[in-house]
Amino acid sequence: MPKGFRAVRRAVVAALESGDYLHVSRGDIEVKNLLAIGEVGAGKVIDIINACDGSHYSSSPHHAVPAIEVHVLKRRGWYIKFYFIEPQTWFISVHQ
Amino acid sequence: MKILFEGDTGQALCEHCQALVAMHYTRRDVPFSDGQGIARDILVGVCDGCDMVVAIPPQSTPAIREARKQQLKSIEARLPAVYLDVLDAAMQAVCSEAGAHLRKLFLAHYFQWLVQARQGMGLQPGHEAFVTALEAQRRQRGLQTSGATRRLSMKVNAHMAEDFLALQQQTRMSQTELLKAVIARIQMDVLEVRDPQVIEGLQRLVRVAG
Repeated sequence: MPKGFRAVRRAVVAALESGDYLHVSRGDIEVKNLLAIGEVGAGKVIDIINACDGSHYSSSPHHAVPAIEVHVLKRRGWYIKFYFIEPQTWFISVHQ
Repeated sequence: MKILFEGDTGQALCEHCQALVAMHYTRRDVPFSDGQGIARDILVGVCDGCDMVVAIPPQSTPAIREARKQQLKSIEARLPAVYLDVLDAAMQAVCSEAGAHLRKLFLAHYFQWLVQARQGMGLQPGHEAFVTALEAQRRQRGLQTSGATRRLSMKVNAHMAEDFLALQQQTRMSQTELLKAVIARIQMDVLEVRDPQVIEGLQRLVRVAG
C-alpha cells in the first residue's frame, strides 16, 4: 500500500485515470460522495488532487481495521477521503 | 476501466462486519443516503458475510446520476400560507401583472442563482431572521400564530431539479424547509432591501417568459 503524501497522490491519481476504483457503501449511496453520484467527474477530482501539497494531506488508521490507512485531502473547499485495499482504491467521500 | 459482471468477486471493508470481507457483485436497488430516492438494479459489491452493499463501481455512476435526476420530477410541499402570500407579494412588486404561474419561474431563477453563487449556506440564518420578524409583527398586533397552510406544487425540468437537489445537498435541508428559506430570501431581496439589480433581473425574466 502506498505510504506518504507523494506515493498516495500518485496512486490515487493513477486509479482515477484508469477508472479502476470503487466507492465505499454502507448499504446505501452516500450523497456526500459526489464522484459516486456523478455530480463531479474523475478529471475534476484529479485536478483538485494535483493542486494538493503535503500541507493539504492527512491520514489516520481506519477505526475498525487499523492496518488500513484512511487518507484525507482538503483543498479549495473540497474534501476527498479514501483508502487502499490492494489492488483497489476506495473513495469514502468526495464533497465540497 | 475494468468492467465488472454479476458473479465477479473481490475484497472489501464491511462497515457492518467491521472487518475485511470477501464480496461478490450483483444487482440491487440501493437507496440514497439522504432518503431521497433509489437507484434501481445497479451493479454493486455485496458482503458475503452479512449481505450488505459494500461497494459501488464507477460503471454504476451513470445509472445513479440518472436515478438521482429522475426522482425529482415535481416539487411539492405544504407551506404555511404566509410563505405563498409573501412569494406572490414579491412577484407583484416586480411585475404588477404577475400571476401564480410565475412562482415556478422565480423559484427556478433563485435556485440557479443560489447554486451558482454558492449562497446556499446563508439561507438558514436568513430564514430564521424572517421567522423571527414575522413572529414580532404578530406579537405587536396581538395576533395568534396561524395554522393555515397552502400547497405549492410544480412540475420541474431536469435543470431546475438538479439545482434544487444541489441546494438541498449544500444546505442539508428538507424540501419544505428549503422552499421556505428560498421564499424568505426572495422576500428579503425584493420586499425588504428592494435590491434594484435583483428586481431588474426578475423583470427581464418575466418579460422573456411572456
